[in-house]
Amino acid sequence: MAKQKLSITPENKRERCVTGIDSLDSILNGGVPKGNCVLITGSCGTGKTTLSLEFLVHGALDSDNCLFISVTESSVKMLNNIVPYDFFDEELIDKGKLNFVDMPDIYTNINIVHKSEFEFEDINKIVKEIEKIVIEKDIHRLVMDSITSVCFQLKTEEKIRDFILNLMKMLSSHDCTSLLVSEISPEEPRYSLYGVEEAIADGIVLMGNLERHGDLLRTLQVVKMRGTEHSRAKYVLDLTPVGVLMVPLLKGGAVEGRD
Amino acid sequence: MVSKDELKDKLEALEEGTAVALKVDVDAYFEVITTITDELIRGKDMNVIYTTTTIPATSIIGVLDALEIPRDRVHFVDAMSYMTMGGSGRSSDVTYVESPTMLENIMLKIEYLLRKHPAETHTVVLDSINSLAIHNDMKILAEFLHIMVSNLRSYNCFTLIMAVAEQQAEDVDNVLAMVCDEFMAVTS
Repeated sequence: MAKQKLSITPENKRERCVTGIDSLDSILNGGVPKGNCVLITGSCGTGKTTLSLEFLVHGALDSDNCLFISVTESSVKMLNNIVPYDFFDEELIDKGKLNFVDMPDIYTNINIVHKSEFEFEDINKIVKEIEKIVIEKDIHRLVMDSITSVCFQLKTEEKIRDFILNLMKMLSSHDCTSLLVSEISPEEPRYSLYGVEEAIADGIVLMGNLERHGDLLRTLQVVKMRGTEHSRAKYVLDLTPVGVLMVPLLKGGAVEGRD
Repeated sequence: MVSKDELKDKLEALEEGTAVALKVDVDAYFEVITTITDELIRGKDMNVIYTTTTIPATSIIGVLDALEIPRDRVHFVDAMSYMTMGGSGRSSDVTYVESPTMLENIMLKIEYLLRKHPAETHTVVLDSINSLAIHNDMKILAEFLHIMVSNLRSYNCFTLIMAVAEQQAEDVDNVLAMVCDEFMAVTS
């Protein structure tokens, strides 16, 4: 096999996956570099699922085929609780642009639904099963909510690393830009529960709850994003029917320490 | 000094994207509010986003209704009603912010209304800078005004920042002078 020639692509030349969330695209200098695997990390109630779903809806409206893999709750329940977008069109689901799959169904298909701990061979099966859907439906945007719940059944750092590396490699090979939702507790001194996820991911978007004089503000900060220059400042966000909106966090009121 | 009768003409002459500080005598305050709302809607054919941090929006709605000023093009951001613990009830015409200290959320709700109700021109009224100064320190208030006015300019909005003359502190005047294009003192 001929050796692939190595080359350096200037940051501004990498093709972008426009998220459709104006402020996030502005922070990322045009969007997520195509094929990147991004960790959306934060504690509960910070807007991780809503932001991720909006990324898919905009993609579907822009003719990308999109897939939401729901791990923690059923897709039906999740959709019932999401902010009702003005721009959401149910036809996106009917036409197969926006697809929802529940992770337990994937486990059932590969006969591992009753296992409390997955082995290396199970990891391969999971990734292959997801790849089948990606190929069959020609998926170019994918969200897994949450990767932490999958990692619970992997137990060891080696298996988690193996799973995420395989998943990332597979998605990237199909030119699929993905958001992996990661749950952390507010006190967590790192960006992911196991520490492995953040080291491997191409990007980290940290979402938080910032308490300032008794007010609770939702915040977002892009900590890392390979392949683009980006702002690393903290923004305050609001989840609205017109989508996620952001403004800069006012520094005069910033508090010390990690939120 | 501008009399409240001259105010209509002054507003008429202002260009889009302008930010104006209106320092109003307390006796003329309500009349000025209704005059500018009426002038902006009927005279200048604009949508109005009325941000109140002083009294609940339902009170202003009551005044506009009493004076038969059409308010189908007025959208309210209310940062006071939560503070009064819901005594005046909630209105579907109003977008609520929990507290006047949540300055970022005030900006976010204004942006939400700008996107929700697209129009050629919008006016954003901020009523008032004095009440915001009660709840916020000057450093964060100045930062808020600077970012908000700059952001609204990018939308080509016309911004009116209301101030009660008798309650105005010098440092607030200085910030308004810095961020606004015009400073008008309105007398009764």
